[in-house]
Amino acid sequence: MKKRRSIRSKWVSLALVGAFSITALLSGCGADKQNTPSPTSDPNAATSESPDSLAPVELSYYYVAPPQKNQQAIEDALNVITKEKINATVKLNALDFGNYEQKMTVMIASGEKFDLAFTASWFNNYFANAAKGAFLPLDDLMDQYAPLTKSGVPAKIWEAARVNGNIYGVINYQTMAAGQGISVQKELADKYNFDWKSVTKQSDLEVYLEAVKNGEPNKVPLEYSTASDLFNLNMHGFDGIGDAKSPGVISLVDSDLKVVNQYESEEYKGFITMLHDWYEKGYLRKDAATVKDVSSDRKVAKYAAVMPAGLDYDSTSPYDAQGKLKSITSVEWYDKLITKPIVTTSLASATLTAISKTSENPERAMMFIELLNSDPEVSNLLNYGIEDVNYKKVGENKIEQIKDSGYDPVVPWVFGNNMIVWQNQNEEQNMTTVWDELNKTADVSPILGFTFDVEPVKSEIAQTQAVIDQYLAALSSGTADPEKVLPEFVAKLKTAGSEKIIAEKQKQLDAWRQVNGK
Amino acid sequence: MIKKSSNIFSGQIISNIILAVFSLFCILPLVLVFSISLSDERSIASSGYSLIPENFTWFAYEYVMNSADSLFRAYGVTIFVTVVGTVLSVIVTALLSYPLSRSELRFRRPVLFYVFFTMLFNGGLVPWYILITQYLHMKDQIFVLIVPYLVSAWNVLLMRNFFRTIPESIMESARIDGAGEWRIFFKIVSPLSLPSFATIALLNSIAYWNDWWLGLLFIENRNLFPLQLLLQSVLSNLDALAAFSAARNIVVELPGETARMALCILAIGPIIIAYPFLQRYFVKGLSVGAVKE
Repeated sequence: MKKRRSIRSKWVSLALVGAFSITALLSGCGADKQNTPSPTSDPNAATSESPDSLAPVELSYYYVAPPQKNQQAIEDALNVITKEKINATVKLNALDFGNYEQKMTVMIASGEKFDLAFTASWFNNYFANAAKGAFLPLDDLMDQYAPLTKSGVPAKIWEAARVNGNIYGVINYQTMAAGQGISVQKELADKYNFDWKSVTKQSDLEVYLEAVKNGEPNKVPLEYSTASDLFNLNMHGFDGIGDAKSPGVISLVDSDLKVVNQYESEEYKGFITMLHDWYEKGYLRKDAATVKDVSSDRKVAKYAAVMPAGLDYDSTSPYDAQGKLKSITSVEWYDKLITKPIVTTSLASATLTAISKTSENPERAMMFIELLNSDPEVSNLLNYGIEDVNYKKVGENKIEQIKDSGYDPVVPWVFGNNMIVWQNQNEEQNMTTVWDELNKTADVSPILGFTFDVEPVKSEIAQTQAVIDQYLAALSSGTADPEKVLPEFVAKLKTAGSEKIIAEKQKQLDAWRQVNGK
Repeated sequence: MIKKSSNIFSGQIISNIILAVFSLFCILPLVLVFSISLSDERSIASSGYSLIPENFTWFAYEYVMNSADSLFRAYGVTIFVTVVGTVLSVIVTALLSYPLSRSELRFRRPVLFYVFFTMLFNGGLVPWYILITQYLHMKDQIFVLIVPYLVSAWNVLLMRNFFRTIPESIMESARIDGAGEWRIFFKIVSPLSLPSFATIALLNSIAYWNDWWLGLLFIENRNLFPLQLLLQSVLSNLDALAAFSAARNIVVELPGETARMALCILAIGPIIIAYPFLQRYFVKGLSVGAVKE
C-alpha cells in the first residue's frame, strides 16, 4: 500500500513538471511570436516610392460591422484599387458586435498575425491594448507614409490618442465635441405651452414635468434608468478621470487641475436634492432605482423628457439632428443645449484604427490607412459599396442608397476620416464642414489626452465601485433622501478608499502636466 | 376491497393532476415564447405578453431569415457537426475508456491519472487558441468545430466506470471461445454498454448542437458559421443596428423582444427530437455509471 502511494506521488510530480514545462513552452512561443516583426522605418523608403517597386503583400484588416451579403464584391473592388496604388490586397474581416471584443482579446493575447484593427476607448479597449504593447507606435510611420491622414485631424485632437507620449491609433475623424442638454416631446411641449427655448438649467424643466404629471396619466414625466446616471459630469462643469462614476474629477474651469470628489460637491448635493423633490412629486417612476432597461418604454414614447441628453446642436439651430430619439420613439422631440459642446478624451478617442505589433508590413498598413483617410474612392466604397449596384450618385458628393442591395454597414466611424464620406439620402444637409468647424472651435477639456492608469489603486476602485452600485441609483433617481443617505454614501466611499484613488489621480495628473507642460 | 380500489383510483387522479399541473408549468413558457415571437413589437410594449398574440405577425421571423442569409447553411453545418461529432466522440471515448477499465492494461493508472489531471488543470484559453490556430492550423475549417470536444475527461471516467460493471467472466468466456480483443469489444461489450453510449451521445449531441464558442473563436468564414453563432450574431447586430440607426437619424422598424423569441424557437430546432429517443437510456446510464464495485 505504502509503495503504491509513493509510486503515485511520483507520477503526480512527473505530471506536474510535464504540465508546467508545456505551459512554459506554449507561453514562450506566444511571446516570441509577438516580438518577431519589428517595423523597419527606413528613411529612404519614402512615400514617393512607386507601387511597382513594392513587393505584393496581403493585409488583414479586422473591424466591427454587421454582416453584409455583398461583402466579397466590395473586397474585390477594393483590392483592384489597392493593388494599383500600393500593390497590396486587403482581406476585410468584418466581425459582429457580439464577437469582436472577445475575438480581438484572444488574437492579441496569442500574438496572432494581423495588420489593422478597429479600436476605441469603449470597445476593444485602445488604452489598455496600447499600454500592454499590442499596437505599434505610429508617429514616425504616419509622418512618413500618411501625411494627409495626419493633417486631416486637428492637432489638438491627436493629443487624445497619445499613450505614454506615443500615438498608437489613427483617429477616425468625426464629430468629437458634445454638449449636454435636455429633450422634450414636441407634442407635449406644444400642448402645455412649455417654453423649451429658454431652458438654461435642468431645474427649468420643472413646470413641464408638473404639467405632464397632471395632464398625462399614461406618461412618465422624466426618464431614468440605472444604465445612464442622470448626474452628468460635463453638465455640471466637471470632466471625469477614468470611469466617470469613480470618485475623483476635475473642474473644467479650474486651471490648477485639482482632483475633487464629485459626490462631495455642492453641485451633486443640489442635483440630488432637486431630484428627490421631483421623485416625491411623482415625476419619476416609483421603481425608478431598479429600472435597468428603458428600451421597450421608449418604443411607446412613455417618457415626456430625457436629461441629460448628449447633443451637438439643439432645435434652435438649423443643424439639429432631430432624429436620435425620434427613430427610437417615433415621435418628434425638441432638443435644447445647456452646456457648450467640448472635446473630451473619451469623445476624441471614440474611434481609432491601430496597426498590430504582429503586423509584418506596418509600412504598407500605414499606406492603406492613408488611402482610407484621404481617398474618397476607397472610403466611400467601404461605406456605401459599388456605384449603380449599391448606390446611385445624385450630386458631386451626394448619393442615394439602393434599398436592400446587400451592402450598407452603417459604420462610417470605422472607415477613416468622415470628412470625405459622401452625403446620403438620410442626411438633409452636408454636415461635414459644420462638425469640422465645431470640433475646431469647441473648447477642449483641460485634461484631453490624459489617461488614468488604474493599476496602482485597482482594489480601491473595485471597493468604491461596490459602494457606488449600492447607493448611486437610489440617490440619483431621487428615491433616497439626500439629507440622510448622502453623508452615509460619502463616508462609505472614504472607508472604501476614495481618498487614495483621488490622491493617485492627482499624482498621475501632476506627472502628466509636467511632461506635457500644461 | 371496493374501498381500496377507489383509494388507488383517487390516488391516481391526484398524482395525475399534480403531473398535469407540473407539465403545464413546463409547457406554458415555451408556448409563451412561441406566441411572443409571433406578436407585434408595439403591442408587447404597450400591453405586455399574452398567450395568444394580440396582433399576429411573422415580422420577427422574416427579419431573422433576411438578416441571416445563410440560415439554412448554418443549420446544415450544425447538423453535420452534431451527427459526425456525436458519432466520433462516442467512438473515441469508448476506445479510450474501455482499455482503461481492463485491469490487464499496463500503465493503466498513469494514463488514467493523465486523463483525470486535465479535469483539474489546463493551459487556459490563450495557449489552447495558439495550439489550434498556429500548430494544428485548424482555423476556419469545419473540423475545428468537432475535434476540440471529441474527448472529455468526465465522459471517459463515466464510461470507464460503466465498463467496469461488466463482469470479467463474460470476457473470459468469450476468450475461451476464441474471440480476439476487437471481437470481444464489438460483439460482447458494446451491446451490453448501449445505455452508457446513449448517455454520452445525448450529452455530446446537445453540447455540439448548442455550441457557439468554438465558432466564435475559430471561424471567420460566415459560410461555416454554426447555427447558434449565427443566431447570436443576428441578435447582437440587431441591438447595434438599432443604436447606430438612431445615431444616423434613420427611422427603421426593428424587432426587439419578438426577434429574441423567434431566435429562441429557431435555436431549439430538431435537437428536441433527440430527447425522446435517447432519454430512456439516460437515467439508467447515469446511475449505472455511478455505482462502483
